[in-house]
Amino acid sequence: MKHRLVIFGSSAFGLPAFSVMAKHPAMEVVGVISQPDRPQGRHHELTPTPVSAWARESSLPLWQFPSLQESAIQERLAALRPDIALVAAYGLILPSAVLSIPSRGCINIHGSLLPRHRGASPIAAAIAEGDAMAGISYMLMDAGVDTGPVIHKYALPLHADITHPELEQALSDLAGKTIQTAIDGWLDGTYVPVAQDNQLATRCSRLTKEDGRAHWDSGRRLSRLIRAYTPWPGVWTEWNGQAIKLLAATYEATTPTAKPGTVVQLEQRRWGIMCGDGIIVPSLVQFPGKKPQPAATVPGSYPTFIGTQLN
Amino acid sequence: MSRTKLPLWTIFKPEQVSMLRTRAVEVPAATITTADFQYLIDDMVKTMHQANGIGLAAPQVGNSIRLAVISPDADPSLHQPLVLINPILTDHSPDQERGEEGCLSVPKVYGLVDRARRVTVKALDRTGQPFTLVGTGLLARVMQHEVDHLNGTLFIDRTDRITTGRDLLP
Repeated sequence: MKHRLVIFGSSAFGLPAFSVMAKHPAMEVVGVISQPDRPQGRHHELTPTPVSAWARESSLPLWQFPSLQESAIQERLAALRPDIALVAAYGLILPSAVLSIPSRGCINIHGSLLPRHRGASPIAAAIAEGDAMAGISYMLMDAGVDTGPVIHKYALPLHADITHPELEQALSDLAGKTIQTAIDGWLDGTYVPVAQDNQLATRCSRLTKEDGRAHWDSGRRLSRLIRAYTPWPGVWTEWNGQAIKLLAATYEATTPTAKPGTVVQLEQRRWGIMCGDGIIVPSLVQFPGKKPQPAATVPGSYPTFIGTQLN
Repeated sequence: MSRTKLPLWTIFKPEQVSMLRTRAVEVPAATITTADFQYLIDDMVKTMHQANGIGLAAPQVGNSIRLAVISPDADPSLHQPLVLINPILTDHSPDQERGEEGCLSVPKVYGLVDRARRVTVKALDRTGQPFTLVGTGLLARVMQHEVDHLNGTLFIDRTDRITTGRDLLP
């Protein structure tokens, strides 16, 4: 008897794991649930989510519900008679009525080492907080936000200059490599879910454009945010009422010689922005309506920028 | 008899992550007494000693099979390297001990891990004979660490605190 599996996913994060499960000899994928095709790009063409595209290519039964709150949709899901559901970067809330449908539960692949970084932006949070480790958690979902018992975790030490896209890819690959052991371990009783220690929990919310606004109190933290928030929302500052993006930068610990936010000329063609704990030295920046440019070309294109006091 | 030192696989090499993260397969009984397999055991023991490791699992040297070796340094009762083939943890004490661990596959990273203080392991020895071993303290810790390797789990998955490794260094 094969296990009847339902997959919930939208972004590409879950694809390596989903592909492994679709080939698992003991699993039968009875449904792939993804968000509806949405207009995207300059011509607003209807674009499928990466998971929808994968399901169509793989000839798996695809459902694109706009929400899971309606009872008609919940009945449709129940009619699939799933034994187990796998949820990764789906983007919509699974109500309790849906969580209780699969007999062996809904398992979420969460992009952090729970109970750390519960919420919508765990990968950015691990980089932003300067964590020594990131990872994935296989969690048995309950009605709370990432509060369910954890079946198994897999960790990855972070190197000091990792960016969000690199870490997201590494965690996505890690899920592909571990999913079968984790799910088999859950189904055969090898892995017993362990309740999370709520005392150690931290939360992270969905990122907004405003989260990317640069603050000059800590250059150390700012350099982490630049890596954590790429490509979106990015770290930006305002100059003459327009947003300038800091795409890549390094932090140098020095004694500040000017007010935080001051753009200062350094030796040769280098320049930096003074922070409370040192200096941020950008290597790649983007002015409004322009392409990204190496920082060294900025004084030539914008002579008045050096010496500016940024908010 | 001088054996070959094997290359160590680490999770910092992207192409080596799969080996360390997937569940290793059982060693077929008929394989155990073959010369190649016996050489692999000896090579792993040599590699472990040269790297100053206290245990080594086959996936750490690029073999996705359920084989691990443990140094006699892990317990005074051991007079030669302990060879575990197809090991299963059949029992563990409810009481846990916190201790610092490192791993040849995660170089320069150390962390505190809670492990059962006593475990029972069933395995085959290098002649293919089944045996049962009850280990406590460091031996119990190393056996749990090695069996984890065979399931694609690393100590970093179980630590909640990264440390300097000072406790482990001489």
